[in-house]
Amino acid sequence: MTASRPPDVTPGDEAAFRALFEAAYDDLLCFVERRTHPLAAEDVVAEVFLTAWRRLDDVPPGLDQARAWLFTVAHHLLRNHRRGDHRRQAVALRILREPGSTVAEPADVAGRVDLSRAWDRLSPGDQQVLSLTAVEDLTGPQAARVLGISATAFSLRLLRARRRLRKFLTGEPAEFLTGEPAEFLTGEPAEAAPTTTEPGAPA
Amino acid sequence: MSNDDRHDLDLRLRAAATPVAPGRVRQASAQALLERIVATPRTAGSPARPAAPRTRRLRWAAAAAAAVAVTGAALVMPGLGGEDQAYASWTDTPAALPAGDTRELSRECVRQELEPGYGYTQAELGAARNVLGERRGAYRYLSIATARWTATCFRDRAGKVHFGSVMEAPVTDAALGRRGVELQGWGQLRTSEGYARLMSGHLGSDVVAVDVVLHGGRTVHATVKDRYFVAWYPEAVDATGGATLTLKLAGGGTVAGLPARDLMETPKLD
Repeated sequence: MTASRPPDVTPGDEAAFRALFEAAYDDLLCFVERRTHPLAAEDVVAEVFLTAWRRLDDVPPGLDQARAWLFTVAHHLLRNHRRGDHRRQAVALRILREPGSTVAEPADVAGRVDLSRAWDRLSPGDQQVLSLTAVEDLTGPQAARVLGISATAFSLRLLRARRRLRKFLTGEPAEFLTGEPAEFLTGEPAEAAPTTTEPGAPA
Repeated sequence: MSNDDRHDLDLRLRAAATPVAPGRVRQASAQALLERIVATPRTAGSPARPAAPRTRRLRWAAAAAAAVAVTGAALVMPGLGGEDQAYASWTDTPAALPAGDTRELSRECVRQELEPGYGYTQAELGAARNVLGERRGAYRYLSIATARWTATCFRDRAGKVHFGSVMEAPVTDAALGRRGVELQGWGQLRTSEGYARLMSGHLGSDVVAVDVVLHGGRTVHATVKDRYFVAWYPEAVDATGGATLTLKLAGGGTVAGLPARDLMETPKLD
């Protein structure tokens, strides 16, 4: 414990934060490194934990929920960081290892190559939803909160992303990927396109 | 795709992913960070930033609002079908914030939040391109726009000043053209009354008014002046459905249905 604790910090606050930091640091750093330049990752992690410290009352109890909360903060920071840097294109997630980076059977390597190629064909949005659940191990509702969308919308995006990844893996023709069966659109109304009217134009 | 297929696909992805390297929390840099943070006061009004020298100056758009709390607090929206408890005096049409109040709140915002947290100075505030405030009932809200950064602050009914957001590297007037809009603040703030959605932005030269259309159709009128706008409204933490902006143009035209969330990702340039 620190010798000089700030006056507004209770021993309980500090103990709770230390426990959170110890439990979640590795996961959070990896989450951020997968999504930004490695040189910037530690700064982002520092900003996230500082936010958690200042808003400790908002951090939900339980490591699982707290970890998701930290990921949500990191996601927003990274998004805004990209805006600030004028790198508005979605950044490709560095989720998957190079297929040959680990010792493996040739068949495993081939499978990794196929997966890596299929992954690279996915849109950043599809990569994001898949990675939040399959890789970062968040629940659907937790992942939805990270992205700021409803759980229903997330489920549908995840369903579509899985279908597209599966089709890329099996080599189905691209035209199958452009249309979605009607049942998958149910419950997710398409967002209306912005409309512009001129003076005197029909409404 | 069956559940087994989905499970298999997830397992393959997980196996192929870069693994979490355990034990990095034990490294000196991580432990130093931990000690710096716990030596930092938790509340506003005191230096909040870790005292470590920063060798890289990141251009942050660090919305404090990014710290969207994920607790399940429910918020009663005044006039939106609930009881009139939280933010009871809030109005969908703003009143102007008097110049003296604008000056006081902006200075407090810099002193309490922006200088200790981000290194922004009173001198930069003095040279700001625009400081735009509004009142809605007992609440005061403003944005500060300089050439280098923008920020928002909120004063609740008890007088407590809350940091809203900061964003660096705003786009230029020229990039926004006549009908563009850059959302410079878009986040949720939690006060003792619950959550609120704060927004601020920069507008093209032809935009004279902004309406925020909430899920369900209710409209919140923004305060607009000299190509900048601010608005806020109570919003449940788990609110679904996105707000859209309607820009009203000089001469009577409109640009409607601009999803606010998308504008936060990418400005609409003209």
